[in-house]
This record gives sequence, C-alpha cells and structure tokens, in this order.
Amino acid sequence: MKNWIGHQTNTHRITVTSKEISAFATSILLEDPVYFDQNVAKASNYIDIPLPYTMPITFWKHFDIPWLDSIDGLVHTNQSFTYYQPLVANRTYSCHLELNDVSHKVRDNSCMTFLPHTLSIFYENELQATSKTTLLLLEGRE
Amino acid sequence: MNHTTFSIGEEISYLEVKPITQKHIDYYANASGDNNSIHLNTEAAMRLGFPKPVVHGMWAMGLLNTLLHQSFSHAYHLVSMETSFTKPIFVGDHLYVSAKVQEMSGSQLTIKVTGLNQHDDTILKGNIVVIGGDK
Repeated sequence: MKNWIGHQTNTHRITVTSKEISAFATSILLEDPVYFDQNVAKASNYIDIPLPYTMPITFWKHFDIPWLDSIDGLVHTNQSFTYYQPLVANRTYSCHLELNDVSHKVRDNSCMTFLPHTLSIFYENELQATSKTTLLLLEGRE
Repeated sequence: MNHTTFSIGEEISYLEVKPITQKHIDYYANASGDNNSIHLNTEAAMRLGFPKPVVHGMWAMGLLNTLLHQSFSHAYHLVSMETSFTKPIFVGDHLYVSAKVQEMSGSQLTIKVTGLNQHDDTILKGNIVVIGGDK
C-alpha cells in the first residue's frame, strides 16, 4: 500500500445537475429554497444552484481507485471540506483524487492503517475546493 | 463585519432526528450513490459485527448544512468544515446535533459542532469556519 502514496487518479470532468442537487439536499433534510430554485439561488448571488457543502463526497463514485481495488470494510474516520469558491450546478469541474499517506497506529493490540485522501476540484484551472477524506483499514484487511 | 450579535459558547443552532430511519438512509444512498450494503442491509451489517445497518457518516455530516442555514442568512461564505466520526450510528438511533460559537475574529466565526446519540455518546465532532455570517 505504501507504494501508492502520492498517486493520483485520472482527472475526471464532473458536472452536477440541479436535479441531482435537489435530491441530495432533500436526503440531508435541507429545505432552503436556494437548493431547489435557480431564481432564489441567483437572488442570493450564486451563478446557479449551489451544491450543499458536503456534496463533493459524491464525486468519489466517478473514480477508479486502484489502491482501494481489493479492499473491503473501510471505515470513514475524518472528513473536511475547504472552499475557495462555491460549487454550482451545470458547471463542469475537473477533479482528481490523491492518496496522501499511509500511516499505521497500534491500539489495543490492533493495527490500524489510515489512508488520507485529497479530492481537488478545479474550474478553468483554478482550484475551487478540496475535500479531505481519511479511511481506516483494520488489521488483516489489507 | 464583526459578529457583535454572537457570544463565545452560545448555541446558535440545534437539530435532532429521532429516530433515524432506514428510509432516511435509503434516500441518502440513492442521492449520493453510496450503496454499500453495510448501510442498507441488516445481514451485511451483522457480517461485519454491527447490530443494525450503519448510518452513512456523511449523511450525519450533511446535517451540518442544515445547521448553517438555520444559523445564518445567505450572507456568509463557508471557508471550511471538518468532522471526525467517533462512533458508528445505527438505523433506529437518535441524533442530536448542536453548533456553538467557539471563536470570533473580525468577520470570521469558528463554530464547534457536536453530534450525540440517545446514550449521550459523541458520534461526531468538528468545526466549521464561516466568514460574514449574521443572525
């Protein structure tokens, strides 16, 4: 696994529709009309309907991630998002995912392997947001 | 802009979901594309040692979007949001999430978020940093 540190996935171009945003917003109990109505979004100074802040996690489904190919039972331990610009519907973002590190900790005689990743989201070559995800691999599953 | 309307330690938002239902999780799985059977199927969860389907941590973190909208008008910019998932949450559990002001510096506000289950176990904790938020 250590050999994969620093590897990136291929870059994917990802466009999120307003319908996908509405469905995601509903699923996390968001009722604010800014996520459902383009006119409300524009009146709130967005170019189009904004993505809920945690929605970039759904971008993971677009990637083939070779270092996670044969692994099952991962636990999601930490998650962060940093925004430089809001993400909006109907824009095509260029995104890639990188494995930042592989670190081990021993607790209660169990070895835990932490796999921090960074998803970088660009629009017209400018970084718009990053999403950092740490996955935990329990002993014996690597 | 200064946050003269807030005080350190003030609870600015609170949200509860009781109970979390399989319908919540099925809907999130469909909307997010995370259809891992551990979230959707009791037998799959039990095979990994869990008593019930495990709620997506990202569903719980998603509720922080709602907390922010309850707290502020749209006149704010989210700088960052960070969460640790400290314990699994299961379908049928209750979730209580609160947001308290931790730090104020000029136009920047740091909010501490905590999620508890019905046993008062902390299941998520983290921070949100916004600029320009107002009551």
